[in-house]
Amino acid sequence: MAVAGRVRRAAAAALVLLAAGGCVPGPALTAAAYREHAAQSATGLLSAVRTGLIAGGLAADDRALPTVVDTAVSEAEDDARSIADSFGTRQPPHPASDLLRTRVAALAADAEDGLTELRIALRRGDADRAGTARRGLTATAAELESVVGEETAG
Amino acid sequence: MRRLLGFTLGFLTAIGGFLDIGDLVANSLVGARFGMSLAWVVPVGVVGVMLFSEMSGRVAAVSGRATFDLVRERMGARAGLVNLLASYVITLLTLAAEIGGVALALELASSVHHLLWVPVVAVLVWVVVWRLPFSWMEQTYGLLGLALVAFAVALWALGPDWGALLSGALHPAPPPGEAWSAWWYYAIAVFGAAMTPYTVLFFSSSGVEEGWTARDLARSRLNVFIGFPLGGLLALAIMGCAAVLFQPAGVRVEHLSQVTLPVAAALGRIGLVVVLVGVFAATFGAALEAALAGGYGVAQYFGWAWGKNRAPASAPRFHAVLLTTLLLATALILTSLDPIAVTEYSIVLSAAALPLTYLPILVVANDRDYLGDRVNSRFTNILATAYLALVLVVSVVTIPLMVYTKAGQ
Repeated sequence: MAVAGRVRRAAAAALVLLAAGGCVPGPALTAAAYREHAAQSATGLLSAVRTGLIAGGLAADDRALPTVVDTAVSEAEDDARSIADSFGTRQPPHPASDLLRTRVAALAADAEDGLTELRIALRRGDADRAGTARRGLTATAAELESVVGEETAG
Repeated sequence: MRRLLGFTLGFLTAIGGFLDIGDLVANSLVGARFGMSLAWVVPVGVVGVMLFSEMSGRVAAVSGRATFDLVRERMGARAGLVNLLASYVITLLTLAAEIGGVALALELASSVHHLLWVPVVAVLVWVVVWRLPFSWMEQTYGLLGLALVAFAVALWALGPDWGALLSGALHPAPPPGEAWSAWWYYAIAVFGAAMTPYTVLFFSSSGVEEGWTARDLARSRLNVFIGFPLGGLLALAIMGCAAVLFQPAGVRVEHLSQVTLPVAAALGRIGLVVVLVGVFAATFGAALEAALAGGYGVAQYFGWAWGKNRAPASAPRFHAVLLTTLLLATALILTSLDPIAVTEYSIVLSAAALPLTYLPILVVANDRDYLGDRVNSRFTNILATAYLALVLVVSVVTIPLMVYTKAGQ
């Protein structure tokens, strides 16, 4: 009976720990794991930025319905925001990882801001502003591509 | 002429009806991430769904009873219940995904958030199931679903390097930087999307609804052997479009809006409008089929009167289950779960539950009491046994692979 009680308490404690572990963003245990997380975040951001660029390009060429372009850019913006939030809450394991954190966090902010800017410009039909936003996003995409390349290779 | 029209409509229905939200998302996602390296899974899935659809169509035509009507009788209440629970849960998830897919297509056409469309879609599904004659329903959405041919035209218009696409298809391995585990996980997703149980359940029951007899076997087989492969070709075109436009750009497909962008890039606004019609029709048609399949499965297991062609007063429990299934699926999507995530989980879990659906079909299709000399040939049995072994392996590895890859990340 006492053994069964202990087993039940242990199981309950394990469930609480699992639930807590699922709710709280924890630190990456090693520098390698943190780099992998950074590479995954950069890959997701690159996807969002390039989606915005493709949709923005189609809008500029008048090849897509405004509703589709608006939805695609808004969803890319949401994705970038979600990745930025998730990456920002991850604790770097060592001070040496802070540089990588700063770099990816800045790119995440650029991606999010660029996509927001693109959405606003497209909804207003402001072609110049949309063009400026696309040029900014193109630069962000190039930076993100190099982060993915470096962190995946390293 | 009438018979020819029946055949033609049957082919078209099968082509349009083969593709649903799961196929749209899975094939585009895989093309963007893995190029054409998983193209081989599409024919494997198409042959599997053809094999078991032909069996269930034959059972319906010869015995005049739907396959799952016979499962409980042939395999006993307990085995039948396991079969029912597995196929019902997967069908419910699929229905939720399809309703979400229709709502997403309407969001793309209107910019109104998809959650606002979900109740409207649910009511539309209910009205169509309740009021529209069976053949009209099947043919309208099957034919409109043909608008998805726009993906094939778009692939041609994108002017891809056909040699590179073919080379990718002939080299089944993950591209550099991608893990084998994720590659296999998405192979299962494409396989599960092609072999969703509701397709077979619906095909069998609709044969009974339309009053098929042994004389309709040729029609049933033509629908299966021509319609499904052509549907598979469209699935490959969707994969190819994503491979051409998205893979070089590093885009990962996570939304229905992305699935339609290659068509806009290739064909402009008109192509985009056509493909939106196709997406709406394919997902709406699949929602109708999945809702009916939920009602068919439960009513056939318990031996209740069933049939879309029956008035609610003469089949009240069938219609009550159908309506309950529709409400449950609608409630699931209204929790604000991402419809694309629901789709991805539904096709992967569908793959995990495949043996529970397909084994009973094989057993019934070999029973001379029901089929006389129309039982499976030796060749069909060898192929079906190989497929059962495959789906068994798939069902065992799916969940561990899902956990290991964090759902394909």
